[in-house]
Amino acid sequence: MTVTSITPETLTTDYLDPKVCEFYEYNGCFLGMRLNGEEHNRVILTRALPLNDPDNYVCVTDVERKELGIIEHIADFSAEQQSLIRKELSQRYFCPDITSITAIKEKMGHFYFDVKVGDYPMSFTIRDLVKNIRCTEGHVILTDVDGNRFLISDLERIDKKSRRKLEPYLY
Amino acid sequence: MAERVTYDLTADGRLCPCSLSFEDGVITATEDERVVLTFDCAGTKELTLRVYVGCGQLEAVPADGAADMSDCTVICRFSMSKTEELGEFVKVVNHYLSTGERTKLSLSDLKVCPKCGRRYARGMDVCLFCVDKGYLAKRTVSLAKPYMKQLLFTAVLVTMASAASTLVPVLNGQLVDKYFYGGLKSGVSAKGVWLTVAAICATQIFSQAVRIISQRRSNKISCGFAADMRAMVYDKIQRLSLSSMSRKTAGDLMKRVTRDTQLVRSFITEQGIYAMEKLIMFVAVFIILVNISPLLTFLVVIPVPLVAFLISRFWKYIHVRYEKQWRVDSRSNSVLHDIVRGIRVVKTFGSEEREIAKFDKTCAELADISTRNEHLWAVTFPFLTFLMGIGEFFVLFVGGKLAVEGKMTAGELLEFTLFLTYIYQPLRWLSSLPRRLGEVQTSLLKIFEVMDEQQDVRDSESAKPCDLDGDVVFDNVRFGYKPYEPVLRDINLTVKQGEMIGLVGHSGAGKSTLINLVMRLYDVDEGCISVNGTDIRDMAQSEYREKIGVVFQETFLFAGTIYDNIAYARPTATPAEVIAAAKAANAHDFIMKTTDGYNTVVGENGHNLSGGERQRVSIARAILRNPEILILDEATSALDPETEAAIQDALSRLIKGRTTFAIAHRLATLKNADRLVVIEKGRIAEIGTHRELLLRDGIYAGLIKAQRQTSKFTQS
Repeated sequence: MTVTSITPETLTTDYLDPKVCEFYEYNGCFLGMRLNGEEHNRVILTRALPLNDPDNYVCVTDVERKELGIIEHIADFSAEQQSLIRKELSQRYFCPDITSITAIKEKMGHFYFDVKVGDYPMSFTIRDLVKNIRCTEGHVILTDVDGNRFLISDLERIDKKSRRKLEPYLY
Repeated sequence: MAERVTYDLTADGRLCPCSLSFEDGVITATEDERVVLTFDCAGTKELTLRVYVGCGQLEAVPADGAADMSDCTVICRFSMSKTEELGEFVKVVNHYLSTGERTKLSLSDLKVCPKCGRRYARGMDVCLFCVDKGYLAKRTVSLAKPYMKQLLFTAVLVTMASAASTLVPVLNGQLVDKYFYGGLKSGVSAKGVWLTVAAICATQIFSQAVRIISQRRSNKISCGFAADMRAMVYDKIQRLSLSSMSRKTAGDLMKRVTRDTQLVRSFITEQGIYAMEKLIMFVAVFIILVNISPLLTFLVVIPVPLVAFLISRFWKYIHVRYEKQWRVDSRSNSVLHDIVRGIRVVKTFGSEEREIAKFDKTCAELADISTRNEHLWAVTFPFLTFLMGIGEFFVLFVGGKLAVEGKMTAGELLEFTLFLTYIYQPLRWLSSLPRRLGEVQTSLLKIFEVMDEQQDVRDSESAKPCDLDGDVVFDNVRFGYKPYEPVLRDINLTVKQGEMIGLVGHSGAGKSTLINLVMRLYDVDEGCISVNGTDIRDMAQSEYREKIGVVFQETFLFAGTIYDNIAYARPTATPAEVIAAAKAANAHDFIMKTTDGYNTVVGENGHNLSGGERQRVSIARAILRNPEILILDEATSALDPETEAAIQDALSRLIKGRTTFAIAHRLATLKNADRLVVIEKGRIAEIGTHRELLLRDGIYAGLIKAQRQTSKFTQS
């Protein structure tokens, strides 16, 4: 019996080529993309792997979510293009990076976090720890009851006291 | 007056207190008390919220704007905490833009705690962070009112048992002083000794007998109370609207009916009655001890505040550790559950080793954390127990000295040390009470949360008679599951009585939402749906739904017999009617092939029937109900052609003369529909017969072409 193997082509995706794809700012607030000479004045960027590979595999769609292409590596684009891409991504993903934890209190099955993002104090509530605290590869993502996301990009970088407070809730 | 809401993100993504106001068609955005945008809504079609990851933006869509939305104006950016507030703002502005009428913001659902400034959890009337423990106690006591007399009687019994127990050390003391210690000197007869021992024995028997009775009574009370609570929660869950239900998982709701009420029951049985006994005992013994020796009592009490403080800190610490252990345990269980459920996939991919390694890893983690916790417990708790009882050593030392010096009799010292047990027991119990109280408080709050949940779909106070013998009219209907995300908009449609409407469109277009609205599982946000001239919101829900029949794609059968499942639609139906319904649904033949016929037990969700058989039972159920409005939601999808033909045949009998709404992805199944309604992006895009829509060469024609190509591809 002959087994048909999967050819490398089957598992290949055509990524956006920086030579034929150019991003531009449109209307002062939207990102546009010129692809093979065709202009799309408003495109949306979505990370395929937002948690563990945010700088690669970024999907470009129109507002109706029709895919126009995928950026394989943001770094392949010129510095100016990269800054446009990153600006658009920062508008799409808001995930403040927690720098220290002031207090964590549990009351009635809710966990109340008082944290600092830089110098800005923030408070949020988490309900289901199992679902809403994800700890992978040294960083932690917390999702609060409203759907806001908070990041601790490097567990080793936050102070010892904060780490000790958080440790019982990580696993 | 301007309508005002707040938002919290600047254009460059900085967090800051900002506000948005709307007055006379103009939106003004203020950041850090500085006006950053003044937007005139003239020429604007609508406002829309775009929700991204952890944030979103509010945009104004111009009338006759570009299809790619590139000419929208971004009004503001916001974090997810502001979506509901801004959703209400969008409603007010959009209402003004479409009608010119001004409405007020309805922010009543967004309650903020005046004490801590935190938003209340959804559906709660209290702030969980600041909730006063008295609030829970008051509500629990009000629920326990019917049991008050029995509780009081049990309290009297417990007091009697406690009083009897306190007699034992007194008698022991007398025994030593009067007969053993004093008896040697005075030569008192042994009769008194026997009488005292008999009295001690009788006291113990009496105390234990009363305790047994009180325990039985307290069990009865707690079981009755928990059963009442369970019934109340279950009753409320049954009445909750689908939107309230969808906010909670089935497991979560089940936990509230079973686990939380069980926790309350155990607390009453194990802690409630003990609490009474121990408190009574503590106060009584304390008074006795002060009478015997104020100095020794003082020595007993000295370490208590320090130890109580240490124990409460310890509980807090260990509680968090045990919670973590519980979560790791729970994850380990779910990994195992996943592997067992997906064993076929695991085996087909030959990934047994990988799965074993995954499970081993979680087991190792669990073992590690359990060992550390047990170690901590083993080291700390005996030390705390020793500390708690340290007063006993002081008492023996000082008391012994007093006895030797003759300032205290040996009997008094014995009596005192025996009484110490009665003091330390309640103290040890009190030290563990906060943890137990915490657990039961959480459970009580969860129970009250369900009981207090406001129903989104409510019956009108002056419900009108439910007569569905007429046209179904959708008048400017707008609806969204989230206030900021309309799923259906501008729906205007008149369905004639007895007409069959086929709902067509891409996935996510809003077809199922439309039939959810017809079933009144949700209420429309704007506009109205009326049947025979009456708004369905003015009809009693139960009466309205009694006249509607539904056949879903996913048929749910209850554990029970086939007969029970068909008769579920009308429990008063006669066997002849059930059989007739099964015959009309083409279900009779397969039922008769089973050993027990209509008495065949189908098991949970009908697992021993095939998909087509389950579907036919469900159609029989709908036929038996004899509904005036019929809803078919993908009733024949995922079936082989032969079964589908049989079911189509059954359905054609069911549809006859009834107003029917049918959704089907396989468009050929809708060819008999009187009219087809094509829904695209939440709006009605096309209406007409199959032929008319094909001639129009629009969305429907495109769907038909795509389906033909797919079937050619699958056949080739």
